[in-house]
Amino acid sequence: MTNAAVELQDISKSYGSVAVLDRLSLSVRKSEYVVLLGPSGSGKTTLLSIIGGFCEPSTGRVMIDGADVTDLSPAHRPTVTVFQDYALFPHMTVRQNTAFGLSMRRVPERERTAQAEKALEIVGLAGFGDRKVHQISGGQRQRVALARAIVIKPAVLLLDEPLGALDVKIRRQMQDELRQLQRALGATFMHVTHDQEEAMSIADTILLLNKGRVEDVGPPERIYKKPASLFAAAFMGEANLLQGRISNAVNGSVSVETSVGRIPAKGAGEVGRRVHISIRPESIRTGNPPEGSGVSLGKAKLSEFVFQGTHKRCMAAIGEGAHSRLLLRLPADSDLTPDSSAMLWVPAADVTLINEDKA
Amino acid sequence: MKTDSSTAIVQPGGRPASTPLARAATPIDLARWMIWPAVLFTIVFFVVPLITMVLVSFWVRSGGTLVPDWTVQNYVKFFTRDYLLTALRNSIEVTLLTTALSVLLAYPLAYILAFHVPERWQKIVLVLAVLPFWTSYVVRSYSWLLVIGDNGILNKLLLDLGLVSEPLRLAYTRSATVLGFVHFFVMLLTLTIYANLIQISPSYLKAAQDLGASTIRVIWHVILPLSLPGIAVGAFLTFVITIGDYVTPQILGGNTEVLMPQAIMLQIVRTADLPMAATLSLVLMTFVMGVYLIFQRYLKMDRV
Amino acid sequence: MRRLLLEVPAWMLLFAMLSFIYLPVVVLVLFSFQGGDLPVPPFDGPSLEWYRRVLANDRLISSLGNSLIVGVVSSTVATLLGFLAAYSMFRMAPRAAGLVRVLLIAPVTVANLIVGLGLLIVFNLAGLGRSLVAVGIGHVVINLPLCYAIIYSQFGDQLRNLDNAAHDLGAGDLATMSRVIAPVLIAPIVAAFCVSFTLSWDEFIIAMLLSRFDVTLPVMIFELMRAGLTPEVNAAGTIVFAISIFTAVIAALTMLLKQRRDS
Repeated sequence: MTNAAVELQDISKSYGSVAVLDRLSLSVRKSEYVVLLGPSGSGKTTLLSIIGGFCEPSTGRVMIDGADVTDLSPAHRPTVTVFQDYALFPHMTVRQNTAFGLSMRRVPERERTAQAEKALEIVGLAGFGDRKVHQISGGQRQRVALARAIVIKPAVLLLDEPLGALDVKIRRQMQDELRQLQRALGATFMHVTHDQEEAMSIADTILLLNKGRVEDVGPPERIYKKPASLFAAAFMGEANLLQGRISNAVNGSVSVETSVGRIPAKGAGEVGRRVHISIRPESIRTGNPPEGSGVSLGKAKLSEFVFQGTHKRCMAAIGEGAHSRLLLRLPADSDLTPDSSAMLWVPAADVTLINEDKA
Repeated sequence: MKTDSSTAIVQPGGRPASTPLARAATPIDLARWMIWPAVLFTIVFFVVPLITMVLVSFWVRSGGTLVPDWTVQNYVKFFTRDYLLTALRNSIEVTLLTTALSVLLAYPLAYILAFHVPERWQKIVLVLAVLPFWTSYVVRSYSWLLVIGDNGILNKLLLDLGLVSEPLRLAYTRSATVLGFVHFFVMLLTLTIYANLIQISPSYLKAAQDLGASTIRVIWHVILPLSLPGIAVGAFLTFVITIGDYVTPQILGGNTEVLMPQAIMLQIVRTADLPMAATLSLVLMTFVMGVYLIFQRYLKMDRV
Repeated sequence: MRRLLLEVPAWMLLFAMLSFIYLPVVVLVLFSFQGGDLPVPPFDGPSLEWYRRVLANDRLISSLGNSLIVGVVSSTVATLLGFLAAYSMFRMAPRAAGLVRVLLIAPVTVANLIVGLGLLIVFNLAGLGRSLVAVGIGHVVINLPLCYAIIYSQFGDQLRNLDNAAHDLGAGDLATMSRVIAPVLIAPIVAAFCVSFTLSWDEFIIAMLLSRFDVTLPVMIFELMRAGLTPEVNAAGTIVFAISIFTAVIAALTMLLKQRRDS
């Protein structure tokens, strides 16, 4: 229990009749980098607000470091939030902004300045102390917002789409820096984003949200390779989702009849249940499968080749009457051409059973 | 030294989060109470006097003091005394005339500003047009007296040009009062109507012209309807301010006719009959309230 | 989007309207420098005689001082109360806010005459006489709604984020208001003060009803006018005009500077 840095119990939030969060419970371990991932409208920002204390939940409790903080205002919680637009105080210098939290804690001036300078150094803005906010760039403002937050050494640092306003190159760099910062401080970071690539680069644990509910929780690799739901499969990247029916179930394995043929997968379910099979495009190989460990998908006609640098995207018409279409990622140096045919197979481990029948 | 703050990081075993390090001791929810000074002030010095006024209107002044007689005597007096009813009627007439004239004169001016004056100059011309706003109200009415008085510039010009043989009686008339009002409100309405007009997206006008509308039709069918809410608000403002104004009719209208504000002041200054003054004020207020209620559907007051 | 009407008539109309607007002002200022005894034509050479008389008129000068004091004090109170109210409304739940808003704005809907009369009656009944303090109170009543509205209109999403950030970092309401909100809103606060001052400075009817021996400048000018029309009134009026414009310019410049610095 007290091992959890942040724990949410049965949190709901409604505005009038609109439910933004629906009986959500989660537990975050200390010193973890957690990413709240989801499309807009999934409730991730609302969730962050509730943890930070800016928003009252309709039901449920918020526990931080084992203590119930649900009725405490932001000032009294051991969290600090880095806002999407940074919310730097425009009339103060960079140093004054950074030292603000210390000033509120009655830290004497000399000590304040020293700690502020140290924080600025950590975020790579040494010497920027005297600049005014409007004199620095967007990326630099983001760092000041970070410095302002870390200087008071919070237990939990909340980041609301911190990298959204930055250019792609700077974003990549900042992702690394955020990671390093979190490791160095040992604090718990909770980071909201809608960008699944960003989530996968940074997170120890991804919390995937959709329509106010938790779709999936786990390390990036697990969520990507073995998504727990259709939504997770589709959101985390491109996926081939095959509808099917369980024809055989024994000892933790099932056979699923799909338009591509019978596909074995790990999992359980009653015979006859409608399910989906998820296969990532890059898992599909061409040629014949090696003995035992591959699942043959059959012969396919390839078309619509698009060169993407690291790989070639293409579509494969396959299955009964070639009605099913699979998305493939061929190696960049593949010598297959449009309108050629190939045998397709996928390693057994890369087949995921999703126990959902999309309405 | 700083041991307190450094233990705020992740701790094994966890300590209650609600005992943070050396926070400032200020209570957090002060914001809720900050509304009270303004609210109390308004209640004490605005609401209470209004309520008192309502009560006092049922009192009577006799023998030099206010006697809480609780009678409708004052109201009866109002509805039976000719000169008081006339005062209200005069007020309504002057106010309607002022409002109409002000809107009719201000609209073209605002229109020219918004659509004819090059954009760079618009703000400057607007400021210029509105600058005399800042002469004191009293002073401005006085200045008009100088202009239209028997010896004033206007008459001097007319005499010199031989257009008249003796000075025109312009000052101390209803026309003078209306003139004084219109002068003020043309400036005010130009401001508000201009602000309204520049918000009209040029794409409406281009679309209309593109579809073959002539200038007049563009104005009639597009610009006018879109600026109507702004005009309505401005006209209402003009109405409310004019009907309650004492200075302009007193200075420019002289004693040729009495308007409601003057009637009220007479009760205060001449006969020291505060109850009667209260009665007249309430009649005036009720009338304005009635006008507001009738027209509020057409007025979209901006949120505050 | 230009050229919707014929050019020439438009400019003529503009000129005519501006002439109408400026006529009394020109007459006022021109004849304040009148050499002769009457503020009417003919104009006898520029003379500072009447300004001298104004400056020598003790009662008038003291009324100018009174106007200044009443203006500054009442504007300070109105701006302060308005700022506190605006911040409180900004943080308050919407349910209660509606009623409070109506209350705060209400004085604007009532004519100054009636506001003054109400106060007169109340002070009369309470045994408090008329005085400049009473005038000041009356001015706060009519200016508070404006100060509140001007400042409140500047509270937006950006400010809410700053407010949240300050609290998040441990600031209480008092610290947030003084260290973050007020400095950021300094331009509208100054503008509210200037608007309030200009209105108080110019205000006649409440000043007349609630003052006794010490009067404000507009009341003084009114008294002068009743005594007779002389260029002294012109001179006094021109001085009033100049001070009002000065304050208005300060308000405008403050807002302009703030805008420029923001971009």
